[in-house]
Amino acid sequence: MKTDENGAKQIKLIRFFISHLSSLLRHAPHALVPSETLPAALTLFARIKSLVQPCRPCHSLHQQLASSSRHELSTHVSPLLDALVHSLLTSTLLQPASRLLFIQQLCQPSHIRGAAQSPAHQLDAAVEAEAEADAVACDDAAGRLALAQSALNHVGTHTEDVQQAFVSCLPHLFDLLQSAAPHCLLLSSAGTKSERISSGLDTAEPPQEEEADLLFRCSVMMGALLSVVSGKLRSEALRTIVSQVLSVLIAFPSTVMSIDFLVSVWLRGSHAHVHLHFS
Amino acid sequence: MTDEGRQVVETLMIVHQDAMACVQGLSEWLAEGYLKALPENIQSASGFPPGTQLLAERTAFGRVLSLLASLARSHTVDIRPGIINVVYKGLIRVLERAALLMPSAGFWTACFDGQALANAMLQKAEASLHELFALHGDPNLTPSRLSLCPCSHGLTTCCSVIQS
Repeated sequence: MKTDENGAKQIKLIRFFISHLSSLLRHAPHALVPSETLPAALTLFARIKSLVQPCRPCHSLHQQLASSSRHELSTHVSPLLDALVHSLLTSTLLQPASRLLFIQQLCQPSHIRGAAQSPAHQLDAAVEAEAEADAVACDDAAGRLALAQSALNHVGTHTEDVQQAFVSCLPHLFDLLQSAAPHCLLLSSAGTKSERISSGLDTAEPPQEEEADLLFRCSVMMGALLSVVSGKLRSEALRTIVSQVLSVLIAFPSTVMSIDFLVSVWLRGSHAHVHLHFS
Repeated sequence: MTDEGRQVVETLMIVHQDAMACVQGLSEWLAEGYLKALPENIQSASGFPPGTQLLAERTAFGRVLSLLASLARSHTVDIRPGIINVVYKGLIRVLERAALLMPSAGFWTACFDGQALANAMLQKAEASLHELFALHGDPNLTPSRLSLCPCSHGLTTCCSVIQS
């Protein structure tokens, strides 16, 4: 009971600071962007975001949290983080270069894994350390992906330089997807299943539930981007998506995920009127 | 509690309430009085060249904003639950108004150290997350990855990783 109360207190504190930070940044975005603090701040945001739904490394934490704390995280803290990212992207006080930097840092995995491996390999517990680094990297990627997905849901409201930056960062988003795959595969699919049904993308015999979950998230994200950008930008986005998916197909020819994914994205961005030529 | 102890607590309470009232008053003055009247004052200041008047107003305002930001930072580092909320709300109200009147980037960097404040807030949020993991999570997983950086950069993942 005491632990629950302490946990709830910590989550309330996180909510308090994120909330006020968000308000602060709305009026003075220079406080965070551009800044040396930004990469670490995004890592923190991603880590908090990844707590909203259970994943491999923080699964036990999520299970142990009181239901009220879980509710607080998903209902209050998570939207605050989304709003914070959104307000930074839409701020007119930021120069395009600053926004580009912000988007690049959002879409790139943190350097936790690479930096942690060097000393770890010199120790007997190298395997364990590597697994831990993987778990943290997975969390980080899942959190970033969730933040990016939230931003991309409103990408139509952003300026063209923001859209261009997201298109340029598409390969990084695919890297994030691969890093976050274990996380996403373990997510409860209840919410996304209903979203899938409501969006008409659910099929009578979908691929395995966990695969579909990941695919659905990807297709929503990429589809959102394709549906709003126009002209050359759309062509560039679609070419990148197709090339990334094809590279997965070549690496793992037996998978059905890539084809399904590609079709989903295509359906979502079908009004793009972009003609691609496969050779 | 002894009489002496009660007296100390009562004194502290008075100081605390005074501080809160002072901050609240300051922010209200800035938001509702000073800033609201600033455009009119500038227009009606016929005895002064407009540029000089504006500069003087901004300098004065900058000092107050700087003070308020510094207050917010110190209360963030050393959390006092009652007062911190008032300070933040006051600061944000002031920023709301200031953004319209003082858009110059140079002005912001000169009088408002938002980076320091944002760092302090982020460090507190990270500390809470760390505490949450310590309470519920796997103690072997998080401390080396999510630890506050003791170096001068403030909150940086790179430094904590290097240490681990």
